[in-house]
Amino acid sequence: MTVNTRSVVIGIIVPLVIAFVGLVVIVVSLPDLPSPVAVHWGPNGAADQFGSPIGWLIFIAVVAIAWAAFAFFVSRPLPGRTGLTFNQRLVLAVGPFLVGLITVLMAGSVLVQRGIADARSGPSIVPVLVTAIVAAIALGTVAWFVLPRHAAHVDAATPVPQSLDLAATERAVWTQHLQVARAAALVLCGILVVALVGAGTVLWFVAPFWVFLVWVVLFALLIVGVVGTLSWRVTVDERGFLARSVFGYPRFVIPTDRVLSARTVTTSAIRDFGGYGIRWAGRGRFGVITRSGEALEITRHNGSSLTVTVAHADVAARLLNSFVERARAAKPAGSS
Amino acid sequence: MLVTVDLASALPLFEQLVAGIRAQIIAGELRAGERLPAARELAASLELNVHTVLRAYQVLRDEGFIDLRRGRGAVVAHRAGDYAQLGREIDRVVVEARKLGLTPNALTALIRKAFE
Repeated sequence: MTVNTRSVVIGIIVPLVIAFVGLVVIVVSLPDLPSPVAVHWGPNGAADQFGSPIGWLIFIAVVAIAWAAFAFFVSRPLPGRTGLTFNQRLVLAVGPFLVGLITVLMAGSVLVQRGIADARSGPSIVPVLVTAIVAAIALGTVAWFVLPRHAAHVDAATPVPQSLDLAATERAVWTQHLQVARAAALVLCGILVVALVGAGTVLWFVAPFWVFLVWVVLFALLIVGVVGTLSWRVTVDERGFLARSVFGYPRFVIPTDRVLSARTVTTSAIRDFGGYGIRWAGRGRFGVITRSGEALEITRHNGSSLTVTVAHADVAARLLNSFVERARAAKPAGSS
Repeated sequence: MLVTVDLASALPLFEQLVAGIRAQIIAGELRAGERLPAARELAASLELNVHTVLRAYQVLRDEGFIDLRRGRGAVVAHRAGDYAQLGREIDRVVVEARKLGLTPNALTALIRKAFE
């Protein structure tokens, strides 16, 4: 199998097959089930709500198809690259885990109720739950290792640009203000506000007041945290690289003497970094991601890197490389 | 934006800053509404006195290239974009001056005279 076929089979076909088998098991069991069946269990494992198993059929089908579509969208190869990014591999491996979990749980809870006259006398759900969790973890782990390895550096072929011609008496700074596109930021804030109001309303009515207060405080912190990573001031000067968010923190500082090199890369926010803001892409690769496209990638001596989606990244990379060269030249030979 | 100052240059440091930032606004590298770094930060990056940067920002404001607002700092003014045509004309003038063997100083003097 080629790399791409293997990705599609593991991340998309396998979850759909698992879901299909689960649906068949539930449909075949329908005549042997009590009516109504147990559909919800309390913390002690005993059934406490009853209904029809048809909802499960729809739920399994919708989750499996929606995840398959999402995984297909995320795992499309990046232009000019072969192989998977860390995030693509993760999304593909989550498919068998997620679909395996809900399918084993729902099909299992149907199987244990076969031949029972009254669902209230049915067995505990705990063995089914344990089986489902173990099976899902096993499926996800096997999928991760069977999937093609993700590339540490997806486009390592991009050359390091030449440094700028700076005279010994010249000082220079490169700086830029970065912002997540207004539309994307609005969508994100909209989702946050809907979640805040929705969950807040539920908690207001059903939970003690202090739970509601804790929720509001946690959510306020979350909003500050998210908004703080949508707007950045990025600076390259003699001291090195600095990316500072709008509130001053969080920030990324890379002193000149820790920089190995800087270059321009092309990145995809979703497929490469899994989203916007501060992102981790596996194996010491971090990103300050406000959009897809041109980005500055700085590699440290220890092999870790930071990718920042700036415009005119080439100028920034050349300037940083100039400072690195200048610092090396200024040091006595032999010391490092 | 990329700003350089040369300590060996005869031009005062604040004028070098003005020339660098102005050139990037005219070239469209800095767009209207874009924020410039705080004077304190730019001064720290270039190891200059903060008053040197503030003086440069004031000159750019007086020339109408940036707005200085309390709290928001320096922002590229909304009159950029008119410079594309001027940029092309300047390129033409420089080409013509080179053909005639004029030095940059001589050309600047001619332009200054034309202004008066």
